[in-house]
Parts: sequence; C-alpha cells; structure tokens
Amino acid sequence: MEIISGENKNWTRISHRNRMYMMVVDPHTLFAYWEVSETTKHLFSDHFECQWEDLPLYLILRDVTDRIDDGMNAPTVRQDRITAAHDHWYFRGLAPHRHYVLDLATTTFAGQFFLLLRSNVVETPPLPSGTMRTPNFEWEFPASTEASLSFNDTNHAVTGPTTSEDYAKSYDGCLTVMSPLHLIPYHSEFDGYSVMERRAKA
Amino acid sequence: MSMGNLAIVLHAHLPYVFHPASEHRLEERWLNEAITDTYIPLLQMMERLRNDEVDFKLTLSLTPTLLTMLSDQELQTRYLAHLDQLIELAQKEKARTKETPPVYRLASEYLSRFEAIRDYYLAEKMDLIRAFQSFETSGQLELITSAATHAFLPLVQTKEAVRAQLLTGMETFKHHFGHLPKGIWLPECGYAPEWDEVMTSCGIGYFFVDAHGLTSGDPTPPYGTLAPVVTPSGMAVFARDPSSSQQVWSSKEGYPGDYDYREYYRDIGYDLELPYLQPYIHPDGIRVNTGIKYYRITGEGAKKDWYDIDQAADKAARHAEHFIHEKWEQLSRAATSMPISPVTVAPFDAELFGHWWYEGPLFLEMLFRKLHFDQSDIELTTPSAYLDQKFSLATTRLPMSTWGRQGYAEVWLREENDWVYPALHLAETQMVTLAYTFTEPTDLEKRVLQQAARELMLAQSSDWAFIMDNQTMVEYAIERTKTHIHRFQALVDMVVTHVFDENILQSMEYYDHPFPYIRYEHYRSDEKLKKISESASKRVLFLSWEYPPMTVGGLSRHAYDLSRFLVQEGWEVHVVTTAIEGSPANEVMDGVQVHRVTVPKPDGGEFIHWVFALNLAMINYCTEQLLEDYDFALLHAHDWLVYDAAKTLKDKSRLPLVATIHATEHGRNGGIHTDLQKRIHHVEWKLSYEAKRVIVCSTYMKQEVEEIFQLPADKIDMIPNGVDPKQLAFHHETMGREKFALPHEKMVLFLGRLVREKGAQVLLEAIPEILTTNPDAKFIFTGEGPMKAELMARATQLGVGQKTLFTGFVSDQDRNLLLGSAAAAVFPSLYEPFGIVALEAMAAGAPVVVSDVGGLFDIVHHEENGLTAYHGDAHSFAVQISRMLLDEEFAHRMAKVAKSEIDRYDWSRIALETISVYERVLEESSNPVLQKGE
Repeated sequence: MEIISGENKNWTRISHRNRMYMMVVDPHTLFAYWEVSETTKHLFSDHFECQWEDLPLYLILRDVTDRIDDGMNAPTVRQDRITAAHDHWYFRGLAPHRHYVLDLATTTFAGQFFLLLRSNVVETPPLPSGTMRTPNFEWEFPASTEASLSFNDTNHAVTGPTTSEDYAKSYDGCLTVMSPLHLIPYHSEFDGYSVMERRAKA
Repeated sequence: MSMGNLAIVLHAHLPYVFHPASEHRLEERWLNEAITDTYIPLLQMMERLRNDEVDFKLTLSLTPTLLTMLSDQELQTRYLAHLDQLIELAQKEKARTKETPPVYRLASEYLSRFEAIRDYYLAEKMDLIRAFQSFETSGQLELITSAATHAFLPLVQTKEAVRAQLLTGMETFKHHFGHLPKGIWLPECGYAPEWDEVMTSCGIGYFFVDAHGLTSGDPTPPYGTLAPVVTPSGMAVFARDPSSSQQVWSSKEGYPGDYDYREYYRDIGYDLELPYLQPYIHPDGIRVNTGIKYYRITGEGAKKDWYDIDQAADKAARHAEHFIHEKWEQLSRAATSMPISPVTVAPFDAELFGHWWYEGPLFLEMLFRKLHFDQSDIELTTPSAYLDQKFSLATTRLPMSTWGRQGYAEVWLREENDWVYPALHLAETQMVTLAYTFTEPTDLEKRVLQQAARELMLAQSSDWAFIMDNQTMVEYAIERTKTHIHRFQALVDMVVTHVFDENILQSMEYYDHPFPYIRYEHYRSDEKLKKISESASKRVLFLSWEYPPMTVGGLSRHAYDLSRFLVQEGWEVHVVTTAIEGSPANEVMDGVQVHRVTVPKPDGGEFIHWVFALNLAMINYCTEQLLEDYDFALLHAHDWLVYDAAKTLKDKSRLPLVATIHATEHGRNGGIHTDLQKRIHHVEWKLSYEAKRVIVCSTYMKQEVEEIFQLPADKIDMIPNGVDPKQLAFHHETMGREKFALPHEKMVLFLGRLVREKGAQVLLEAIPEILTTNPDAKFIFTGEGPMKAELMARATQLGVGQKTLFTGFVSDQDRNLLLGSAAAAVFPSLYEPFGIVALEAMAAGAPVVVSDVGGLFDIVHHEENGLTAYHGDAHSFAVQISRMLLDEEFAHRMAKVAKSEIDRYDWSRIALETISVYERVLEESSNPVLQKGE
C-alpha cells in the first residue's frame, strides 16, 4: 500500500469500551469476541479486592430459545474457564436452530456467578435437511442461587403502588409508601437503611 | 404459453483495487483481465445476439466498486495501455509460433480476439458502463446493484452500517444509470434475518439466496427453489437453483472441467523464458497470467494437449443443449404440480465466464440462441419481469445463509480472518456516533466524514476476509484491511480533536476515492436523538438507588420531592435509578426524566454485589446513552450505594459532583464493628472525598461527617429535608379509633421501623413509669422490623401487654387517624439524621416528644414546639411523656407552634437552597483559582 506520510501504522482493536459480540459461523458454530475497558477492570479489582488478572473468569453460553425472561434461568450449554488474556472464543458442536447468549462472568467468594459482559443473542440457522439435534445441557450452576430467588418473607408486604401513576395518586395525603417487597431486590438483606450481616450458610 | 422460466444472473464484482500512484500493481491486473476475458466478451456476445435479433434476457449485477473503477478515466487509459501490450505480445507470439501450426492458429486467434476487443473498447469510447446500459435500454439486460464495497452483511454489526452499504450501492447505481435498481445482489448471497427491515427500508425489491437459505425457511416454502418467497418485511427472494450451479460451477463434475476446454493454469506467462516475457509481466520480473494459453484440460495428469478451438466450441454448444434439457425436465415436472409458473434461477459469478471458464460466454451465447430458435417451453426471464406477473407468493422467514463453502460464514469468519471484526465493528459504531454528532459540519469536517465513510467501507470488503481464507495474496488483503482502518481512525481523530491535517486528508482522498458523492449521513441512527444542544447550565443528573414507585427506605421519597421541586424552579432533572416491575424504563414523572436501569443477573447472590451490578448498569447506561444524548451541568449522587457510578461518571464526564449523605454507617450502628460496616463506611468516605460539595440534612449530621470523614466544614452544606405543604393538609379522622384504643384511653404513638436505632425499646421501658401517673395511656407501636418479637416479649415481661399494641404496617388512612388523635407522638431514636416522621407528626398537629439526638434536635425546641428527652434514657422519656399527657393545654399549645413553623421545611425553599449549592459548585468549577487541590 501507498504510505501517506504521518500515517500511524500501529494496529489496534482496542475500543476502550466494554463489549462482547457474538456471531454465527454455521449451524453448529459460534464465534465471540470481547473487551473489558480499563475502567471496568479497576472497578472489578476494587469490588472483588483482587488483581484483574487473578479474577476467575468464565464464559457461560446459554440457550435462550423461546425465552422472554432475562435468560438467567436458561439452560447453560457450555461453561469454559478462561484467563484475562483471552479475548475471543469459538463454540463448536452446538445445536442448530437455537438462540444463544454468552456471558462473561466472574465468581464471588461464595462461589456465585457475577456478570461482567453479556453478548447479543444470536440464532444458529436450522440445518437444511431439517434434522435437528436435541440441545445438550451438560452443566448446572455450581452454587445455590437460592438467596437471589427466595422471596419467602413477603408476608409483611403491604400493597404499595407499582407504577409511577399509582404512586402519584397514593402519594397525596400519605406519609410512607412502600413498594411490595417481592419487587425489591435483596429486601431481606437491605431495608433501605442498613445492610444486614449475612447469616453463615448451613 | 411457456412451461416455466429461466433466469440467468451474473454477478460482476471486483474489489476496489485502484492504486493511482502505481501503474504496476498486480491487483490492478484483476480489473484488466476481467475486462478482457469477461466484460467485453459478454458485451460482444450480447451485441451479436442483438444483431441477429435473438431475444434473450440476462440479469447482471455490477458492484459499486466495479462501476467506480470502470468509470475512472485513469483506469480506462491504463487498460488501453495494457491491451496494447497484450496485442504486441500476441503479435510476437504469432511470429514465434509460425512453425507449430496448432499453436500458430491459436496465437493468430488471440491476436484477432485482442484487436477486436480493442476496437470494441474504442468504439464504445472506453465507457463500458454505457455499453451495458444500452442493453438495459433495449430490454434484454436487467441491471442491479450490490452493497457499496461488497461487505459481507451477516457479519456487519450495526443496522446503520448495513444501511450505509446498501444505500451507497443504490445511489452509485443511480449515479451511473440514472435510476434506482429494483433488486440487489447480496455480497456472497449473505442474508441475515436481522437486516430484513433495513434492507426493505433501503428500497430493495428483491435479492437472491442460496438454495438451502430458502428451503429451510419457516414456514417451508411450498415450491422449493422454483418460486420466490416474500420476507417478513416484504422483499421477494429468489433461490439459486442447485442443479444449475452444480452443472456450471463445479470444476470437476461441471461443464468447465471438460477435457476439451482451455486449461486456465497453463499460461505462457509461466511457460516461456523470462527475457522474452519481460516487457509484458511485472517490471520486477514477477511472472503473471498473460491470458494467452495454448493447452486444453486434456485430463487429470500434467501432460496437456494443444487446445482445439473448434472442438471446444462444439462442446460448448452440446453443453448448452444439455443444460436446456435438464432445465426442461426440471420445469416440466414442476409445471404439473405448481399453480404458478415455476422459475429456475441460475446465478453465477460473471468472471467465471471467460476468465476462469474461457468458453463460458460462448456457452451462454449458444444457450440463448438455442432457447430462442429451438424451443418455446422455457422462457428466459429476469426477476422483475417474473415479479411483474404478480403471482401470489408465500411469506417466509429465512435463516442466515450464504453461498460460501458449507453455506454459512466459515469462509469469512475463521482463525485466519476473525481478527478483523473487532476493528471493523468499532469503526462502525464510531462512524454512527460521528454521523449523528456532526449534523451541520463545516466543509472540512464534511470531507473528513465522507472520507471516513469511504475508508470504513473499503475495509469492510468481503474480498479481504475471503482472500485470507483462500491463502493467496494474503499479505495484500491484510494490508488493505489494516490500512483502511488506520486511515479511518486518523480521520476520526481529526474530527474529534479538531486538529486537521489537510495533507493527509488530501492523500487519502487521492488514494481511496470510490463514491465521490458518498453520504456519511447514511450512518445516522433513526433512534438516536441529536445531542440536545440547549444549554446544559441547568441540567442535573441524579443518581439514586431508589426512586418512586420503588420505595424501600426514605431516600426514594427525598429524591422524588427534591427532583420535582428542582424542576419547578426551572432545572431539568434526570434521575438514574433501579428498574422495578410495572414501571417503564424511561418516563417523565412530574416533569422529572426518570431512567430506570435493569440490573442483569447473575448478580453474585448478595446485596453488596447487587449494588455493584446496579452501579455497572448505571455507568453503562449513562456512558452509552445519557451522556451521549445530553450535556449536563453536574452530577448529584445520593448516598454510598451509587458511589461507583458517581466516581466513574465524574471521571469520564469531568462534571462536578455533589453528594448528599443522608446517614452514615457509623451513625446507624453506633460505630463500625464488622468488615461489612467497614467497607460501607469506606465507600461513604470516598463519596464525600470525591464530591465537590456534600449536603447533609441536619447540624448533627454536619458534625458527624466532619468528624468521621475528616471533611473540612466549608465543604459541607446543611439543608434540611422538606415536607410538601400540600400533603400536610390532614383530615382529622376519628372513625375507626376503637380499633386501637378504648374511648377514654390516651394514645401514645410510636411511628417507625422496629430497629434498635429508632429506640422503640426505650419507649417500652418507660411505659410502667408513665402508667403510674397516667393509667389511661395506651401505647401504639406501628411499623415492622427485626426487633418486633423481642419488643412484644418484653412488653409481656414488663406486664404492660394489655397497654401496648403492635399494629405492624398500617394503612395510610389508619396512620392519619392515629396522628390526628394521638395525645403524644414519641420519637425516642438513638440515631436520627433528620427525623422526617417527627416533622410530619408535627404537621399533622400531634404533640411530639423526641430524643435529643440528630436532626430531631434541630426540629424540636424543648417546651416551644415539643418536648425533648435524653436519648436512650427511659426515665427521661417517662417524665416528658407524662408531662405531655397530664397537661393537655400545654401539649396543644406546643403542637400549634410546631404546625405554624412547618413552612421552614417547604420543599420549594429546600430546592432553592440546593440550587444555590449547585451554583456555587458551577462557579467554582469554572474558576480555576477556586478549584482547590484538583
């Protein structure tokens, strides 16, 4: 190629942004690449009190076909432990005609996954012959997700407004309005003022 | 009436290989060879057919890069020079081979062929585009376009970049032919369902996919590949007929591999001595294909026989006949079972005909002649002629497919070339941002933006990834990708930094100049608003973990009232908060723009991690969207829960940060005792450190943050919490009082969470003593909390069970009733940053007894508007409550004073005080002298 004087020829693909993008190679293969910004790396280092390079990192590929929820409980089809040096990955041998989403996650001290990046959802094309392999789910979450899923102390809940319109209406003339507890994340750990110490798990 | 239709479609494409500064680029030969071998022979063929009045129909896509090169005067001149050289070589060959008759005949043929091409070229005034157009005008040729630089669309990331590729393709076509094309050739037949709508919005009427791309549609197309279908957004799709492609395309089973056909790989450029060839190959002595080849394929082995023109021509005629027969069989079978006229679509790379398959144009000519003269069952058609018949077509959602190896993306996405996509996608998103940022660019900015669009598009050519897969000329493909990306990034730097280097820009415009009238605006997003250019001077970004209707603690309500009263005072407030079921992600609530972010899972399964995830989601939303769309004057963070977001956004946006600290972990717990408390305490300290000014709600809190965070006193502003006067108009209810107390009983009311810091236990301990002087007192504890069971047990233990009532949460109506009829409302807090509930009790007209702590001490002045007692001291509370109960007139007088003073806590006033804090911060931020230590 012609050289234009003053042209910078350093090859870089760093966007300084968080991104994770997945692409379809063929009905059985997906490719993903990702980048974690320096800012995010620092935030994770601070929060998990650990060097970025030492954080445990996992790629979690989930089948989100026909799901309308957040996909959190969608079956995991792959879980790969990776290192901070990885920045792309091929997933081979997947089922055709399924929707997939990829998470890059780390784990907490208690062994729970914590999301770092989530990809776009992609669809593997169906096989032309129409033959379909049953999706193969081989892995489950390593630790209980009970804490985030149990809402068993809702007996104290009062019915508060759940939309802003209701709120505006009910607000007139009332002193304290509380949202229904089952809508509040981790309400048993945080009441809006103090964070409760977690009881050691049995 | 015909039995069925046949559409022959040729796709003519070359990447942009114009290197204006060098006449000897090997890649430029691709264009010269394609003109000599394919484009002019096809034109000559069509001219012969027209002269002989042979009616034929052919569809041809001419890609925008090819059109650009064919219309370039410098390249036209260079081609003529190339042709002259070729003729000279053919003349030398004729002389050289005089003694070998079979070769001599071929050499003579080549010479006359090249001379005829030269004559044709000059007769057409070197303008091949006009030559093609003349066949369009006479109705035999349907011309269509392709994506601007042949980008492989399934691997493009953004809709905007897809649209820019398509629209630039359409416009380039229009520039050359004066009208828009009806259809498009998708590069590599690469279709992705996610681009269906954007394709339609670009005005595309039809396109082509490979057979499997259509037959695996949902629902399954009823007629297989023999009828087009319609996509969900309304485009017609034709499928490549697999048998046609096999017969023509395959080098082994297909016609081009016939032993009588010319052998492509035995060129004199590789067979003859270098000194003889020197003037006709690369100046550096690199051997190249000259186009002069004397052998036929002959067989599998290396030994090749001389090529026999007559024998090859005879074979081409027989193959054309065979092809027609096969199509006849296929269409006659289909015709009996289909209610609409079947169509076989046979698409090929144009350059196959003549360049790779030397006899290809002859085959086509024979095909057209035979179809015209020898039969009437098969009708030649074009896609738009077929669609004009208005057949009823099935609507089908098609999956991603291509005509590449294995039918998907493996050619363009594999280890050899996957590294290009992160760079290409980054450039796409940068281009989209630039396109909506620069709505009214200067002339220079416009040039930079247009050139950036050109460089991005050139980098996107599917050809580079294809070549990397193909393993020949790989270095060139890598170099091209990298260079265009470098140039793109250099241009981005120019417009972003406003440091323009016109020399570099000019060089880029010289080297990479397809699409002179390119419109960078095609990258502008439909959804993205133009950045709000109105002054940011009165726009604040609130960060609050809770905001109505999500209400957990008191923060939600504080943020709600402050924000809407700031709006009333002329500020624009955007609140970024947590999403809650039932509320929209974005809405305007009482004039406040509320943005609710969803915290994605998995979130670590603990509140402390969830808060971190919330902060990440806030940062993500603000940096990707809010800060892109709006200019803000400052950030206002509420409490430690949003610290990470506040700090990150402050660093990123360089906006001043104001923090409100509503309470401290130290105060809530009477010290720091655990690791978790230590962690939260540290975050609170960091928030107060990062903030330009810290707002607290009471003198007590001011002292507290000064002491525990070592904050300088002049960094802190005390602004009390407010009460909306409208909401203080209580209707005194008495209906239902019997639920709580007997008619003669005097109600002593506790309102609050049953947690240690609120001091319900202090009141409980005071009850026996109060009862000694006030046996008619009844103690009502409303609210919930972890201490409830413990408190109830203690009441029994104290023997006052009958005199106490734990109501749990009460309805709004009951709460009003209780406040309206209480003889005393008691707030025995051990820690109380402000004491909003006491204020509300006072507003409701209830006489109050409060602890001498925190904000309560600012609000209640002993014996003026209420009574105060020593915090944590049950005896002191017993004394003060007893006084209140015994002297009703005294109580009533104090309650009246309290009520009359309540406008001190008017939200409008508090909003104004907050605004003066903002103004002070903005003034200091704009004055470097005042920016101490930053």
